[in-house]
Amino acid sequence: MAEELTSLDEGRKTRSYLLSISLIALLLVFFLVDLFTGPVSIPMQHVFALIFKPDNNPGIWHSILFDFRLPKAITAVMAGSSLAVSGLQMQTVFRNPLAGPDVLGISSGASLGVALVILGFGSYFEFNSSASLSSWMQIIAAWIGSGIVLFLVLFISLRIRDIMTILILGILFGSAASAVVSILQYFSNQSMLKAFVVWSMGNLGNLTGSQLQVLCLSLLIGFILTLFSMRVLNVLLLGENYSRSMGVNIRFTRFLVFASTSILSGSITAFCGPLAFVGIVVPHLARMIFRTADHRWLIPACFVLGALLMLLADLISQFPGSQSVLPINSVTAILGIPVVIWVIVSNRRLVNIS
Amino acid sequence: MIGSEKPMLRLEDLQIGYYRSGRRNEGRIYSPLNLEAAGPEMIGIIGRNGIGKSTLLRTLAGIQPPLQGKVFIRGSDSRKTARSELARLISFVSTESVRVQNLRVMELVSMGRFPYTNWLGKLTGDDMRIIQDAIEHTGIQHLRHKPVHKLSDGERQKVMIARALAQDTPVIILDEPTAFLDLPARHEILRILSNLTRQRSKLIVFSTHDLAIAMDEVDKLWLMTDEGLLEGAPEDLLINHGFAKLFGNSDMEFDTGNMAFRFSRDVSRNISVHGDDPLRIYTCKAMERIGYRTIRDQDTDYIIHINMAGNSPQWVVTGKEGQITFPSIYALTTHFIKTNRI
Repeated sequence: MAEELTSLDEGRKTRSYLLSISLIALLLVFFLVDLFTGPVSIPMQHVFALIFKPDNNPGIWHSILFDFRLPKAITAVMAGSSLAVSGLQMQTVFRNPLAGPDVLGISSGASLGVALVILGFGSYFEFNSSASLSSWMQIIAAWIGSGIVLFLVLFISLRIRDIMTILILGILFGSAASAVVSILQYFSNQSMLKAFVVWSMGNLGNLTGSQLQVLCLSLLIGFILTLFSMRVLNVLLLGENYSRSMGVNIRFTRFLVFASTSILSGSITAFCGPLAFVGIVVPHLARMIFRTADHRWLIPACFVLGALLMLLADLISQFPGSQSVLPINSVTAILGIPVVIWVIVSNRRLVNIS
Repeated sequence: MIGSEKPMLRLEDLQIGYYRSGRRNEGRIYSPLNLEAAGPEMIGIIGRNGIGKSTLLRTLAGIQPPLQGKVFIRGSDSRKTARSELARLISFVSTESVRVQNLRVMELVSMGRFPYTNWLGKLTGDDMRIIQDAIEHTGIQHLRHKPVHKLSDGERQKVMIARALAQDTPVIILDEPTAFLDLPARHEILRILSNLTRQRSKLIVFSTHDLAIAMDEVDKLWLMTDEGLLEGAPEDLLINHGFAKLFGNSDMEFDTGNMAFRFSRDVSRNISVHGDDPLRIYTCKAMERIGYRTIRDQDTDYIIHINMAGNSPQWVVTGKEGQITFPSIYALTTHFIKTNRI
């Protein structure tokens, strides 16, 4: 009897390991395919040649591959994994299957920062004078915007016990920030408006090498914080009363989770614009595929699946063979909405998904 | 020897309640409590809805801070003890039902080891042994790989008790562990808990509305009445009429014979019932239900005799109108209801 049960356990474990290996392999394939495809077609053998013997062919293809496609593919991986991991943490902490990285109003805060730069002060600078300077300004403004919202949320989370109240306040902060953005939009001219709308559609391909380094460094901090909340997130599934009775410091845990989520999703929003749905959808895919509630599996699973989904969205957005590129945010929405609908429909009995 | 040990649980001027903005007294629930549970025993808390049973239990478990006073668990002040330390002294089973998808019973029970594991939550051989023991003690071996959201209420309650057991604490607090369960499941849960006190030396404190079952199993009752908390073995409380105070001035009265509460009835008429037990007891019960006081005197307007007609009993009523025979208690009572109405 006991042997039979352990073998069942082993079976599940083997399945999970096999799944992990195949997903990581798939991620590598997608990453390479993402490097191979784009509006400019580079023959496959040349890509390999460029990757393995980089000095042989300096030139336009080299530049496309290393200055554009590679940073973009890395950004896609980073964006997808960060948003998915933040979304998972939010769904567990709020015990709400429709929570995502932006429920705390962090993306809206970032939008406000960017809107202030593009729409508010844009008229004082000649905006296109230095592309690098203006993009850094956008990023810093977005960071400050999301940081302000983060501190508001953290301050509240230390004072207010009820998690639903925190959720509602987060949504209200987000709405307030969006309202200010609307006012700024109303008073801005057409070219500024266009610049802001383009930012709000998301873009994976705008990052320079040094920006990518800064992004990766800040995401690393976010992921390290996530590692420390992994075990506590499992217990939080049972609700806050049980967690307290098992010795969890709820306030500290919330602080940790909110800080890591804000760093992860705030940085991605700052560098790539608001990317919708990945954060809500991927945690559900991870639970569905791995059939577990254990965050020690779900967090790595979200990391890989998020990266996969974002690479897929990027591939679709550049429409292989076509010259035009679709806005990434629309692609993630179109990919994500069917999953969200599935979550709502299959959840009508209100079983706690997180 | 036992006397020199620190009591497992002691409440000192404990004022339970909720903090309200500014005014401290407003959120008070119940009068200050001074109670002690020295060694392993099973304590049932009984009281009407809203009197503060859950608040008391949550305060004991350290989930909710007391307004004033102290809770000592094995001599440690619960407010001055680190949360992680407290989690090794006292565990809690609440009424919240846990419905997490993809969470298996084994994983849920293993969560009880949370206060003992490292940041990765890695389980050692010792942890596994304690989890195994908790699963065996609650008799849920066959459920180990079942998802939690597919359990029945009774199964889920046992799993939650196993989780508390895996937490390996001397004191276990349970809020209404028998709520929503059918009769056999209620008995089973209380039997599991009672075995924990006897075999594992646990102090178990739980609330319940199930007086009859609690009276069979608990060592001590904490009776939360409007006039204060009464303490004692169930039988002590029977002797000093503690139960009469339980529901205050409501229409409930305690039937010491049946050890259960019932609505006090308007009994204006007497009727005498004659026959052999248990038929007589059943008949009396039925007549009391429709508002008669049953006595053995012959001096009443109506007299019921229970006779055996072959294998089946029959009820013969003698009164002013003469004799009427009824084949069943139902026929008897409906007749009385009908004639009273006329």
